[in-house]
Amino acid sequence: MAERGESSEAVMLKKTEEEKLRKGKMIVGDESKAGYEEEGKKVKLVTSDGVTMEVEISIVKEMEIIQTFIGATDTDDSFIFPISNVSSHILNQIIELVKGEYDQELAKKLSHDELKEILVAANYLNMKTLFHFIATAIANVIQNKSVEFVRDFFGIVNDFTEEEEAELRKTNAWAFEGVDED
Amino acid sequence: MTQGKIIAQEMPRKILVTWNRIEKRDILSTMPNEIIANVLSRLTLKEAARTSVLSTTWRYQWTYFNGDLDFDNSLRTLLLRHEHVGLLTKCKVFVREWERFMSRLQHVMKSLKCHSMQGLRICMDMGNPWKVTEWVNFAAEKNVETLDLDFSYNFMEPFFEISENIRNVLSKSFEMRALRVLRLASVDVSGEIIESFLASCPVLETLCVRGSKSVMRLKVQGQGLMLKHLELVECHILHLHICAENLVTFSYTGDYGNFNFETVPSLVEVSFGGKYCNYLLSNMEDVQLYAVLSQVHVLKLELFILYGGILEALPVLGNVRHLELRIRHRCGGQLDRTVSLLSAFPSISVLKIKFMRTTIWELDEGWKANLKHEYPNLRELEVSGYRRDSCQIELLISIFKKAPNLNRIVVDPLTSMHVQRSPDVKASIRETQRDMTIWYVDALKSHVPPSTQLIVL
Repeated sequence: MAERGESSEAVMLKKTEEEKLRKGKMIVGDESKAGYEEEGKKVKLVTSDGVTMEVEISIVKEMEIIQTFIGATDTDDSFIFPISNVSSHILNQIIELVKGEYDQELAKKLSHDELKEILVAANYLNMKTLFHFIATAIANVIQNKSVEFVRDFFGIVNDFTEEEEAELRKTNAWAFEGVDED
Repeated sequence: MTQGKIIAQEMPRKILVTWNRIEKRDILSTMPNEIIANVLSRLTLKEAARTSVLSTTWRYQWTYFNGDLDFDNSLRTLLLRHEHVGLLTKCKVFVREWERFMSRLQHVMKSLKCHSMQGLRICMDMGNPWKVTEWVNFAAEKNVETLDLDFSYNFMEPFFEISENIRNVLSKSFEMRALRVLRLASVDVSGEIIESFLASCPVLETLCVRGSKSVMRLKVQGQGLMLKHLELVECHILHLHICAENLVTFSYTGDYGNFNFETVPSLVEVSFGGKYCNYLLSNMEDVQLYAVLSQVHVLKLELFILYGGILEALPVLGNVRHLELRIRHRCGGQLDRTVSLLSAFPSISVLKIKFMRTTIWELDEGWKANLKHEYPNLRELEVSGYRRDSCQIELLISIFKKAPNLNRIVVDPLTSMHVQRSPDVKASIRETQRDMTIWYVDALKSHVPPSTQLIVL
């Protein structure tokens, strides 16, 4: 939590700077559709854990679910979009990935749960590039891994009886050829 | 860490902490099949199929796989062929394994439920040629983006060949609206079949046909043809007509034929080999050929030392920047033909010389290369198949002398006969050949200009 407090302060400082910038621009641009394209503009999102976050428009643009909202509603600064399936922690991770231009190195730092939750979030928010990125990252984690590892990764409870599993391994024996189970 | 701005926190801290510490949940299992299929499709088919034993909900997830289907039995076929056991035993083992592989392939194809598939690759002994039509049908049903059928790794000379009947079935058009890449090796398709693919695959970009004896005539044309890469290798085409606005690269090895490059405005890279290349070298001033050769930036040619001697009265091809010569070299023999050919390319900046050793011949002692021109633009020289042969040394040294701006000489221990191998095989061949190559290269060292880097890969 301390970490969050610190960075909020840093963000606050940045915010005043950006506000100045925004004000400067507002004189030129107008606040309608064209104004929305403005760089540095932020959109307020409420996450599943009730946190309201301001997110840069360039990132929000990748969230097609919100784009449809924006298209439909006459929006102004005070409008807040609820994203009820995404926690603030995951939203922060997503922002980091987008800003890091989807570098697979970044994905290596994510925990298994984070990977899965980002995939779910990417699907919900309809972020195509993020979805592609995170699906690839998950595939990289589980490829060439044992059945047990994959079960553990997805948190799957094995509900096959021993006989059923053995039978299934026999049916799909070709898939298990040349694999060392460890 | 925190990228977004938190401007309001309505929830007490305690709840937030529990939220962040989510227990391991099988969250993906509750998601639509397409999402899991999407992840599984990024694995190999085998890996995806192994998820069937995870739990009952996962049992059939793999059947929504829509990635690249790759059935490759070529290595096994190759190993079996070189096995030191009786021929009959070998045949029995081969037939048993082939049938098992085929039944697996059919089982998988039947199991898959997706309406579309990234790609299909089958690389094995063809066995029953009628299967080809089934596979092409499957590829069409699944709307694949890449289709790669390679039957060049056969156990023995094929018993059955593609018959006229099969060719008739194949030349009825298969609707493949998404097909971008089509590779057919040792499928022995006819010109009509290739033309029908060109007509029924509107987004086809890469077409590679290898080892087809039946392509006598071929017209590469069509309204809005997207074709960018055309490769006709080990084919013996008598009449070839190309009218392709978007064609960027063209490659042909085979016998001589009558080729008409009618419209190829985007063509920048061509490669020729076999007897056709020999014809081309003697007829470079031919209006049609000259038009193509003078247009391209990258040119790859094969030189047969056994045929013909010095090439004379060559036109100057000033547009060629990147020249690759595959030289079938009789070891010890002179390289006058290569030297004379080089005079046509004064503007090259990259030169690749690939020696391909044929028989050892009588030694041409004291052969002098006598390169005529300077190559002021030549920056990089790449050599493979070099064997410390006195004529090879003489050729290379004279190139060093005539290239005042040469930056790098790269010697590759891997000869061009291995270029088709997979990266790991290539790496291991390089490793075993490296010491020998370093010894070969020693003979060049004292002649390399001080400003030039000499690298053994």
